[in-house]
Amino acid sequence: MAISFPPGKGRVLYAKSKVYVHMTSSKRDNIAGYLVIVKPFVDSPSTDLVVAYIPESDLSEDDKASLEYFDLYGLDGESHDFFGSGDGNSTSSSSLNKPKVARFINRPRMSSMSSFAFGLAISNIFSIQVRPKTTTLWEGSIVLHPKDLLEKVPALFFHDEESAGTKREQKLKSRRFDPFAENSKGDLYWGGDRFISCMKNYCVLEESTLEKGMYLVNPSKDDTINFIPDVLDKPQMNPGESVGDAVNDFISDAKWKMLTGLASVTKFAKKQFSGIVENEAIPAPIRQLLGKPQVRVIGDEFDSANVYLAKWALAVQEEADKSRKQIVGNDFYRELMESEFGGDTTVTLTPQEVAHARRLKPITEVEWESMFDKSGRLQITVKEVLDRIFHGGVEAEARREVWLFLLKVYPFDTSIEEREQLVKSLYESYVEYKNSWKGDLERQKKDDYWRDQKVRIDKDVRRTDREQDIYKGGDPVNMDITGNEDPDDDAGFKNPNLLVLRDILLSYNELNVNLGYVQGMSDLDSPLYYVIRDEPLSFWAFARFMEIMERNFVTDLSGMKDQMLALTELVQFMMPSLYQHLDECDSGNLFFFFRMLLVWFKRELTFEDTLRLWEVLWTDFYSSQFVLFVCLAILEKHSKIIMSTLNKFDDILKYMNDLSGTLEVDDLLVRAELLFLKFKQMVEMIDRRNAGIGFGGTVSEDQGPKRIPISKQLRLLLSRKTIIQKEKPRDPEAPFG
Amino acid sequence: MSSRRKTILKVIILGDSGVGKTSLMQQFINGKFSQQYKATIGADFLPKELNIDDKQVTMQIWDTAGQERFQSLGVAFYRGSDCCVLVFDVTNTKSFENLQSWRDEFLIQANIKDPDNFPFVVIGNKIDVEENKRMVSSKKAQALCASLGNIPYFETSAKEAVNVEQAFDVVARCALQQEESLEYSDDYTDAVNIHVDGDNSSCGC
Repeated sequence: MAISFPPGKGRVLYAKSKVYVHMTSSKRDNIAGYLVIVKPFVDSPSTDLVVAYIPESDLSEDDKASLEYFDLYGLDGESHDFFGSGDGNSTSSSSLNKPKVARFINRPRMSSMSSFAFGLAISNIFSIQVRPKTTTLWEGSIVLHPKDLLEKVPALFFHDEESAGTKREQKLKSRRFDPFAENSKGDLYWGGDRFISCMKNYCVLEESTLEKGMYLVNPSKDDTINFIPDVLDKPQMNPGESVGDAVNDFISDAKWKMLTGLASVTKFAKKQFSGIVENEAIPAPIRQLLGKPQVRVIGDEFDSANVYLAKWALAVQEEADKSRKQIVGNDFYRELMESEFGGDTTVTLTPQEVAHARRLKPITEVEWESMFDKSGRLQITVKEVLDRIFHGGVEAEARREVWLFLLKVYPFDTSIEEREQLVKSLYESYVEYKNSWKGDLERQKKDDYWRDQKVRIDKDVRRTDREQDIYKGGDPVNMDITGNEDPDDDAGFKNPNLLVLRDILLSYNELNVNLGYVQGMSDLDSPLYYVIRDEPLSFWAFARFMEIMERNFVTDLSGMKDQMLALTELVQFMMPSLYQHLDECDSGNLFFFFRMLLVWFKRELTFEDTLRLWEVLWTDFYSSQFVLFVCLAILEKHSKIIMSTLNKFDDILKYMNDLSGTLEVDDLLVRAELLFLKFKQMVEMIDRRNAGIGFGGTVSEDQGPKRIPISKQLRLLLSRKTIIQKEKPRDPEAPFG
Repeated sequence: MSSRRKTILKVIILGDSGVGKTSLMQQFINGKFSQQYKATIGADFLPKELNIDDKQVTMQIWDTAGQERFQSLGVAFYRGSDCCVLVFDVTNTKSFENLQSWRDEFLIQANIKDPDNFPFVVIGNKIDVEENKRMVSSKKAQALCASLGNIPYFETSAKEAVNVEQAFDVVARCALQQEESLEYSDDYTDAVNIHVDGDNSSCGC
């Protein structure tokens, strides 16, 4: 049929009202508009059709009227049934979701400086990310990913309850059984469903089997192999072959196919992502991830393939998250809270809480100095200082001073003069500890335990942070140490800074004779000396840090077990379904957090990020065990991927170990803070409930709601008091340290 | 077409801190020696595809922390092992003396049903050092391995890639033999996992 287009106008093929761009966390800043598919010219091929977002404020009166009408009746007709008139499979697909009326609007602009309008030709869309409405995520959204990787367009949120068109569709739909395949899964119907169905009339849309909700637009054959490995290999049923055989073949082929598909993903990664690794516009963690050799090279082994798949899914998710974050800011985190942490609407964070949980700029030297008066006394409260450090961290230039306060080497309530006195006495007592081993030649020869400790320390110091400038060079990592070296013979160490690390650890071995040196401590020592750059003061800072960390290193590992147990309860409490999944995969012990907890993410984060995390944790601002909420934040961030792709202990451990180098400290801290606040609210709510407040008076044992116990471990997470656990007195006969 | 389900051989590397466990694993898997390894914390593993007598297998090598204190973690990941590699440093007598306690600890933690027949391989590492630094002789090491039930013994240098390949070849064969000796009634994938080859073992354990 030939309809001539009015001049300057294009034909509407799809229109949806009340589609929003969320600008900020405030609803007032949301922008309402129409999502449309428009045929710009009468002879435009389908690849030239434009998918556009037009804010209401950009529309002329005429266009507005056209779109309002089309939104309601454009696809179904004024009296028409929903989704055509067919009964089940016999519906003629050609008329499905095609316009029943002719409406025209001005050809949409492809971009706009003054508003959030944008348009993309179908040929320029690489994929569409769909996040359907769920019971917890009330507004479904879509994100169009342009082929040009540098171009980003905002996520579009479908406010179904405001959209007259969607409400009509829902009404029509509820009247009859729904023959529409996508919705036979029993998902909630939402505005985006229709958009996808419409798009399918004009392009090939294949959902990636690797990332649910990710639709490829007119995928090339390569893309199809890459993203939808199953599609090409669907079991071809020969005539005469029984269904049972086909199913069996399919199952036995499943793993093989998965591998074939994944092998192709690597090709994709090489082809498509080789530029990304160097591309500054792409978020660093994704670049790092994609740059990793183990991500690029994939064996055809199923297990490693699974881990690879998970990583790939993460990269996709992170990219989507990132673009959403840029656009909606903290609203992204608010939505996250609501969607990820269950639909318990009685616990919601206030906008103030969410807004407070943002990262600030690190404290500069000038700002730090401004907190003190002329005599060097703090002129604001300690709580204010800690709040500031917790939310921003410290610039490298100010770190030395700040850390000495945070680690209580300097008490907050001292003047400069008092601190100078203090430093003198700290120097003196350090020299005492150092001399007690350095000067005792008798022991150096005869005490096996001591020599054993020295060998351990020498070995580990040589392999600690050697990539950092001050620890580079001088000493081979693998120098053979037999314990027979003369500790006074400093020639053993050519790098003076390594020697200091060694001396601090050996002196700590004197200060805490019961604990001595345990592997991992050199990882804790090195950043302190790196920042403080003064042997005696670093020693005291280390000693103070070890007061907090001693529980991690006691012989029976009970302190670690306590923390893992608390974390286990915390995960069960906050993310029950994820925990169930982990438990079913023999990972309920959360063993993969062992390394992260033992040395506070030293091995997972970059050196610089480790410094940031530690200074934040030292504030004990919310909880002395805030590190557990950082663990929780990692699980929360990765929960979807873990649940959908990883189902064995090995795979989960590998995946978690390989997060090393991909974690972003600021992102984790915001998530951790929100999780803490949520946790606190849940505990408070349960306490109120248990106390019967808000439930119409007293709660009797058999009548009222059941009391929910909050375990001691969980309650302890709300405490800011440091948990001290000391090593038992050392048995001189025991062979091992 | 080759068998679709691959056999996974799980191998645990144990031994005192600093004997070169991570270096051995890296040398075998990636063929390189780095000066930048850090002390291992917790546990991690790397997979490697191998072809043993025309049979494709994946060897999963688990690297562990060497300090005794962290041994009790083994329970979490020793399970299902097919072979255990005990490593000592030929320049460090103590690391040699501790071999037996590493072995005993492993048998307990991994809950090995038939300890007498579980395959171990002993590796004396760092043979690249000068002769006068060497503290454990080959003879002494061989004697210990013989007394522990004829455990295969190798001397390697992870640094200079000496004998590493050979040692892990035997590790793989031992592990494969162990894996195949276990009654396996796994899942549907076993339907396509038919072990046609009979005795392909040339492992001395």
